[in-house]
Amino acid sequence: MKYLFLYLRSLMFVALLGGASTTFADDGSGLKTSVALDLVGSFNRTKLNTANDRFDVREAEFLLYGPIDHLFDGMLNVAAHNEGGVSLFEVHEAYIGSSKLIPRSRFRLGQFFLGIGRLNRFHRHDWPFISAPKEHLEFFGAEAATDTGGEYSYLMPLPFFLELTAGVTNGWTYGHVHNVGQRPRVPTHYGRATTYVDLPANGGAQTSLNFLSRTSAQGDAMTLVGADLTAKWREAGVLNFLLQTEAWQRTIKPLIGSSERSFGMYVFPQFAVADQTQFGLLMDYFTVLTLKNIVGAPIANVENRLVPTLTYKTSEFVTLRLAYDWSVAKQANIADRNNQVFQMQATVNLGAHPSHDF
Amino acid sequence: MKLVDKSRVHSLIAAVWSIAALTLSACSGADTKSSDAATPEGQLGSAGYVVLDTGDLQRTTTQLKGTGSIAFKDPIGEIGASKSYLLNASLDDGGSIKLSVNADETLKHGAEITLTRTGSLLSAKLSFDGASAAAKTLAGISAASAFSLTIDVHNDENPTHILIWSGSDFTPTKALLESERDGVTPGQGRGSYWGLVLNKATVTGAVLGLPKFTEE
Repeated sequence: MKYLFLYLRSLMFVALLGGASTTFADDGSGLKTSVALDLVGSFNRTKLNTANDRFDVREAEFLLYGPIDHLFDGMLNVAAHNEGGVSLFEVHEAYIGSSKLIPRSRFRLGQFFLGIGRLNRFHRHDWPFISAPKEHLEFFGAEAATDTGGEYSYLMPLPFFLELTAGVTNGWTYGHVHNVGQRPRVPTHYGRATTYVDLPANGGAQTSLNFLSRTSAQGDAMTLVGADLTAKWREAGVLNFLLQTEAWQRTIKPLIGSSERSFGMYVFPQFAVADQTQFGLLMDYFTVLTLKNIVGAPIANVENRLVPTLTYKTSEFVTLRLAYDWSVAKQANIADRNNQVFQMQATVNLGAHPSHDF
Repeated sequence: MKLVDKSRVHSLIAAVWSIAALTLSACSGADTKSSDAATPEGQLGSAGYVVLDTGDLQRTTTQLKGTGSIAFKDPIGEIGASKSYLLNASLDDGGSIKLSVNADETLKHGAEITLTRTGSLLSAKLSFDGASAAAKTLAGISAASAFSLTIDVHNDENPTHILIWSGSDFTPTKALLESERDGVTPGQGRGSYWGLVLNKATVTGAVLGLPKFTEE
């Protein structure tokens, strides 16, 4: 690992010297390198809570990827996170895969962001807003649910686009963890069915149904079902309008104690106000459907969030954002809990960044 | 992407979203059990509670004093909630307060933070289902007088991340106890209720709030 970091450090040095749009192939093998920086500041308007009132490196990411041979591709993604004031490197993704070995199929083996939903498949510096919606935070983590295992996708032989994805991963851990976890009773397994359709006026929409389940070593079963939709209208390379939404329901059935069912969804419309400037509004909703007080009476509860977000992209390599994050959590018999945070973000991609799907 | 039959694809998308809506809109079906009329109830500040162990507790709306246990009526939120708890209290020598959070209705299977006074020293011990981490003395706190602590319990992490502060600088480095720094918390809470177990203790305030520290 020491040599990997030395190698990454030298690549970083070369990348910085070379400029933002340089692509590196060290020996003609097709190996590409990129660096992504995610700088985020959050400042609390009311001085009540959550913002840390400083500008930080939220993430520094090193990415190596390329073809291994005529059939396989490989990827290594190492990212530094701020944990308790200290930046710690960890492997985000490390896998081999192929889209050439089996007809109409692609697969990957290793560690990766689980291929479900919309946000969970993207690194957060590529999200169209700064911070995770509540349900994503609760159900997947601050960035993504990641694990080690295998994932297989098959493009159905139909006259329209329909891709089915299934994955099984260790499931020793899930979400925000700081240990190796324990062998689960049922490993993490998930599925996704995705379709795509062209829309009028240079538009397109991708929508999916998703499922994930796992039973922990303690016997607590967790199931997620959800749907996502992303629609884009582009003109001359400019994203004129984006609509992104996800809706998820989580059921937790502890081996002991009561079951819990939660529902959350977000909607993010964004439109271009100029060639390089976009304005979006994140609308977020979360509730625990089964919340009861200690004597069993249902408790009404909801958490709403509105985040107007202004994005300025000088190119695909540099994104600057400003956002005002307003949220209120309401629960019967408890005073409303408000949170208002100003946020700013700068994301930078140095080098070749792999293309994402739609 | 080749579009073959738009109307057919539009129908497919409509069907997909219909299935999603049906799946996600399942009613909550919450079971409601009747309140046990024999269970004593009370109020501490604005928070209602039920008494689990009456012991010798003296109860008013401004304080709990003595030995016994209570569970607050209102849940803290989802099982994976990340919350803070403001605790104002004092202890007799040898006394203790156990704050139990993300627990079930009987305060079992949750994160337990036990504060114990030995002379003028105040120590904190973290426990889950009987497994405990070593107790740590909270520096700078005199247990001989009343104290005020803010306790963050992030049950969205595994193991649960717990931080204890005295004062208003809610950074990890200023925490008197930080579970990731001072020893791994031995578990994760599995419920959505909270309460207090008092042993020769006085509690004048216990307030649930948003977490004071968040990490990306």
